[in-house]
Formats: sequence, structure tokens, C-alpha cells
Amino acid sequence: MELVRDPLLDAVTGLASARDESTVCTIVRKAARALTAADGVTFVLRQGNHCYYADEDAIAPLWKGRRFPLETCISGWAMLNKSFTVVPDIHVDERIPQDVYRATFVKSLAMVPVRREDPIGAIGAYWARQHAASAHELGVLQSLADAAALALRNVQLDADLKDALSQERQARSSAEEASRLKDDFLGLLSHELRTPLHVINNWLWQLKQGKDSPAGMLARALDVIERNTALQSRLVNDLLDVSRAAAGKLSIDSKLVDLGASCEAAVELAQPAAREKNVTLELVRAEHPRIWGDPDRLQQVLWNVLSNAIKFSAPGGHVALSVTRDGSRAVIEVRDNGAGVTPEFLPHMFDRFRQGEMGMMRRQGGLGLGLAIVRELMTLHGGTVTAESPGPKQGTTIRLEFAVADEPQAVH
Amino acid sequence: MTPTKVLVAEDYDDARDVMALVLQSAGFQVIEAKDGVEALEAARALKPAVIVMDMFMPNMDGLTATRALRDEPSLRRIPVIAQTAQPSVVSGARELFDAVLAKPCSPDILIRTICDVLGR
Repeated sequence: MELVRDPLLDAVTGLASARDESTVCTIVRKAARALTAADGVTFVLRQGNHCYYADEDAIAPLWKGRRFPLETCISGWAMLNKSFTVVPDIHVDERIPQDVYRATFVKSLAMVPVRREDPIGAIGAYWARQHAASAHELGVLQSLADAAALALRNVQLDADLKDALSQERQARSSAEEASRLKDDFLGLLSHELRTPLHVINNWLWQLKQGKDSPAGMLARALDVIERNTALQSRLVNDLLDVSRAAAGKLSIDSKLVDLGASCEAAVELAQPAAREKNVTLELVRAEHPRIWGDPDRLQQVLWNVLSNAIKFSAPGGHVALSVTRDGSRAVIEVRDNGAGVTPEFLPHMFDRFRQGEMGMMRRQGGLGLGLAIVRELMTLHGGTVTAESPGPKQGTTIRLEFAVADEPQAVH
Repeated sequence: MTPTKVLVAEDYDDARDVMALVLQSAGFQVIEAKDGVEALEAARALKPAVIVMDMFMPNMDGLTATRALRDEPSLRRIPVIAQTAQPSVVSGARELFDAVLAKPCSPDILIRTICDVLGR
């Protein structure tokens, strides 16, 4: 025995499981046409103040893909009036834009809104002859439209759910990334604080042995202890600066500063570190723009940038500093020919807790806070810091920019 | 009696210098290496009785160097003491080492540990 299926029920079942708009469109246009014996069917969606002819199934092309203002077409009328309508003869209905219909086969039509209480679309059925749609045909179209409304809501809910899930997943993964960075940082912090402490501890033990210490041993011990204490102080100060900055409590004490003189002093201060690593450090060009700034904090900025450049230079490397005036801007550039930066790391260079990935082969030194502090201090100075690097092993240029202070007016 | 040879692999000059002094004071002969590569070369050439190995070093880190030692038949029996400021890095490879010491580490403990692994 062959089963007799109800096409409306089949369509409704299909709509219930549809998960995207195009499946809904396809089911609706096919079922609408089959159920009404119409010569054409359109599925129209409301897009703001326009009707969008999303899909159609007809003996000859209608308006698929086109948009019309709601008030200029009959599908718009059905949506605005939240009501079905029957047009037995399009030539005698003033709601019909004749010029739009002239090129088509349509002589009569019926239109039902999708989601009657607040229409989001419409379904149109069209005939190539004059035809007054029957109550049965209208009923079938409206049932289909109601089922389509539910199906479209399902599609929307499905999309919303997927959106929410993917947002949630993204939020979780960036939280995990932040937590991983913090864990890495804590490991590094512990390492960097313990290393100098180990040296100091061992020297104290050695000095306490007291016996047969060769002459000069004490001086050597004090030198090393002093250096490692300074290293630890610097770490602790950097940590304090970063936590002050995070709490918005980092501040500067501004006065007029000759930036050229600051750079000369900074290069002088960094020379021993450069010499120790056999890196040439040069002030290649020193103009003397004046800016408003905190002299101590500016020294800190320059020290951090210079020591970073030296740290990431190979022995025999070269670090060049220039300070120039460019119109109303004072520009410091620190250029090295050292380790360079990958394009992926470049945007993160000034982030807290970030260091280029070096794994266990990293050299001793630093928490990766120096450049984060530089950025904070530059912001407090109303300036900017940027980095450029052509790539790994190709050097890095750090560029600091400040506004030049207004020249004081001569007083007579 | 010739003094026992201890190889100290440590990239931080200040730490390596003072550890060498400390171990000499305790009567050991000290061989110094600045990274894992030097440590392997020194181990092959000089056959130390024990190796004190830092973990974070350039060129070759201490974990990699110790794995390489364990792969070499003539070196695999040399006791290796990990001495690191970040002990968590050896937690996954504890079996490679005869002892693990966290920095800062008192020389008394280092010396006692060396004697322990040498069975004295």
C-alpha cells in the first residue's frame, strides 16, 4: 500500500528541523507552490524599511534578490498591516506598482504575513491568470507562514546560541592565556629573585669560613654582593612601579628638561654595561629639544630602553642613540643590530609579563617589565613609544616621542 | 690522594665564581662550564666525579645537557645534582637527577649532597 502524505504536514515537519535561513526558504517556496497550485511563489523578508525578495519558485523570474521600500509593494502592505490580502486582478488594485509587475507573468496574487503579530516577512503566491485565492488556499499559505515564523525564530535562536558559546569560549581562552602569563611571570620572578640571593648567600658562607682567605677576597665579595643587591633592588622597584601603574598611582614631577643632556647622561650611565658585554654604545646625534618631564623618570625610561638594547645585542654589537627635534616633536631613537623581534611578538613588546619566548635557553636577566614601565612613563609624559624590527636577528629600533615645550617668551 | 673533581655548569658568572670558591674551600677540585655545551665537553674530557648543573643556560639548557649525558655510555653514571632557582622545571624529569637543590642553597647543603651522591 502506498502511503498518502500530507504536503503541509511534511513542510511543517521539515521547517521544525531547519537550522538555517536558506533551508527555511527552500521548504516554504516549494510547499507554497505545490499546495496552492500557484504559477509562482516568493518568500520575502523584512529588512528595516525594505522588503527583500529572498527566494522564489515560479514559471518565469519574479524579483529574487531585489529590495523595495515597504510602502511601495504588496508584501510590504501585508507586513505593515499585519494581514493577508487577496488581489484577483492586479490591474485594478492601486497597491500594486504596475511598472514592477509589467515584465512578469503575474495577473493575480495572494500575500500572507510571516509572524502575524509582528511581521518579519511575507509569502506571496502568484497566478498567470485572474484568480481569487480561496479561503482554503489562504489558510494553507498562512499555516505555512506561521510554521516558517517559528522556524526562523529557531534559526535565530540557534545562531544566538552559537554566538554566545563562541564568545564564552573566546573569553575563557583569553582568561586562560592571562592566567598562564601570570603563572609564567611568577615562576620568572621567583627565579630572578633567588638567583642573586644565591650568590649573596654563598659569598657570606665563604667569608664566614674566615681562614686562608687571600688578600682582596673581601673587596671582591663586597663588589659582587653590591652588584647582586642592586639587581634585586631594581627588580623590586620595577615590580613596585608596575603595581603602582596598574593601580593608576604612578605619577611624575615635571619640569623643563633638556632632552639632549638627559640622553648624554643616560649613555654615560649605560657605558659600563655595554663595555662588559663588548657592545659599542654611541650617541650618534644630539640636538637639544626641551620638554616638560620628570628628569629621574626620563633617566629610568632611557636606562630601560638602553639596557634592553644591550641585553639583546650579541658581543661586538652596536647600539646607537639619537635625539632630534622634528617640528613640534622631540624624537629619541635607540637602534640596535641585535636579536630583533618576530612580527608576532612586536605588538606585545610593551605588555606586562611578556618576554620573547626563549624557553630554558634564556639568559639571566630581567622580568620583562622594563618596556612595560617605559610605556607607562611615556604615557604620563604625554608621549609615545613604538618599536620596529625587520625580524629576528635583524635588530630593533625603539622610538620615543615627546611634545617640545613652548619656547619661553623673551621678557624685556 | 687527588682531590675529587666537581663540574659546575652555571651561566651566571657571579654564581659560578663563588660556587667554585666555596667548593675549593671544601677541598674539591672545580671544573667550570658556562652552558650545557661546555658542560658536555668538559665531562667527556675530564670525567668529573659529580656534576652540579644549573637549568636555565644559553646554547644548551641543563635539562637537555643532562639528557645527553644519560645517553652517553661513558658518562651516564656520573651523578648529576640539579641546582636551580626554578625547581618546578625539573619536576617532570626528576629521574634524570641524583638530587635537586633549590637556589638559594647554602653551601653546607650542597657539600653534604655531593658527599651523599658520592656515597661518602
